[in-house]
Amino acid sequence: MGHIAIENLSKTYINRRRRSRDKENPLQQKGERVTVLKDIDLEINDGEMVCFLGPSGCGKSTLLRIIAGFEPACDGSLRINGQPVKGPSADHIFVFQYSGLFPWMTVAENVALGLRHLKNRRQQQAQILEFIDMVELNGFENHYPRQLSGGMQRRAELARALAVNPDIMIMDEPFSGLDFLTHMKMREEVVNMHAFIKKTMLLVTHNIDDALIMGDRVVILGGRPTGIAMNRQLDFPRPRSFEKAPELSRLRDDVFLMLGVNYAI
Amino acid sequence: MDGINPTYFHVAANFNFSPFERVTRLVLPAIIPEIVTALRMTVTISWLVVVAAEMIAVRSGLGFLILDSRNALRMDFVMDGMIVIGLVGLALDRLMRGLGELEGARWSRMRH
Ligand SMILES: Nc1ncnc2c1ncn2[C@@H]1O[C@H](COP(=O)(O)OP(=O)(O)OP(=O)(O)O)[C@@H](O)[C@H]1O
Ligand SMILES: [Mg+2]
Repeated sequence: MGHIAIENLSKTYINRRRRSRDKENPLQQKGERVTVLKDIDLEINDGEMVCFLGPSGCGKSTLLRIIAGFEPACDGSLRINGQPVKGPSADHIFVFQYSGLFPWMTVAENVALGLRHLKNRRQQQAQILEFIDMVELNGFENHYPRQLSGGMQRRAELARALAVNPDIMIMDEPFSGLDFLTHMKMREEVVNMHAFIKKTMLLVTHNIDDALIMGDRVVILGGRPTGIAMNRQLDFPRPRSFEKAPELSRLRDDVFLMLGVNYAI
Repeated sequence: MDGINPTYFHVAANFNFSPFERVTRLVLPAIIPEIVTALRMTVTISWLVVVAAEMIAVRSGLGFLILDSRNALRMDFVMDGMIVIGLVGLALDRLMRGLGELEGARWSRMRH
């Protein structure tokens, strides 16, 4: 089960100034408070693929980190399956914006991190290979991350996350820095994977097309402080394309406008 | 500890690492390359310092052997001493280099 309920969630950072910047004004030394997220209300159903869009620095990563339990919210409530989130857990696995693979472990050892509960070695090995196979990295089990290309590293991290069998997978810009073709293939893989395992997936992206093609729902964050600017169900059949669905194409123009681009090129 | 990428601690928490696992699977592997590099730098220098110290301070050891033989005009012993010092130094350097080639110490180096 991967049901997420977020109510009135707010997050404020206090940026501490270095001492003695302005001695006359002691209030300033306490640091300025920056409200990053304000009054976020969001409900995500089990098995949903939700894509988050928003301008850079609006707090997308912050929201995901809070959901993952890496950071506490300042205000409001966050419940996963009815339980308040107390901290990181193997039930909600985070796939990092920049590689989170352990560079001192091989691909197989990294994937094994999610399968440590299996005491039967043979069974564990079989499962490791199965997940590596799923992301088409067979033959690279014993390679170290530095010996893989950027796209292969992402896939390895995906395999590691899948191996834990989490209720929720949280992905922060999983396609950033990939070349166009790898990007397209990874996108397809993630969509297929989602159709297959039916887990709740949260995905942050800068790419509007990614969000509209992949998401069961698209959530746009915006404003200052950041709130939810749009929360829209996408009931378009898959595989999706902008040519076949004029309504999707119109929505795309709307989203471009919302994010401050006047015309979609 | 400060030099370790904080992302790795998030990963550890995400995968429910025990405190023991956090040390053996994260902290130790993360700092081994630095330790090995530091060892390589210091060990060869230490060897030279040891020999030099033997010449000045104590009445035994290779450094003392060379000095003592020189005073006794036994040049063959002086040469022997020099060769042994060189060989030991070389062996230490090899050992350290070998340590650096171990996979555990290599991860932080650039891809080849
Ligand atoms: N630890 C922190 N301390 C203070 N301010 C922070 C901290 N982390 C993030 N912020 C601030 O919160 C805001 C949102 O950051 P966040 O990383 O969530 O943005 P983002 O939407 O993920 O951006 P991007 O799309 O560029 O990744 C930024 O303005 C940043 O300065
Ligand atoms: Mg971000």
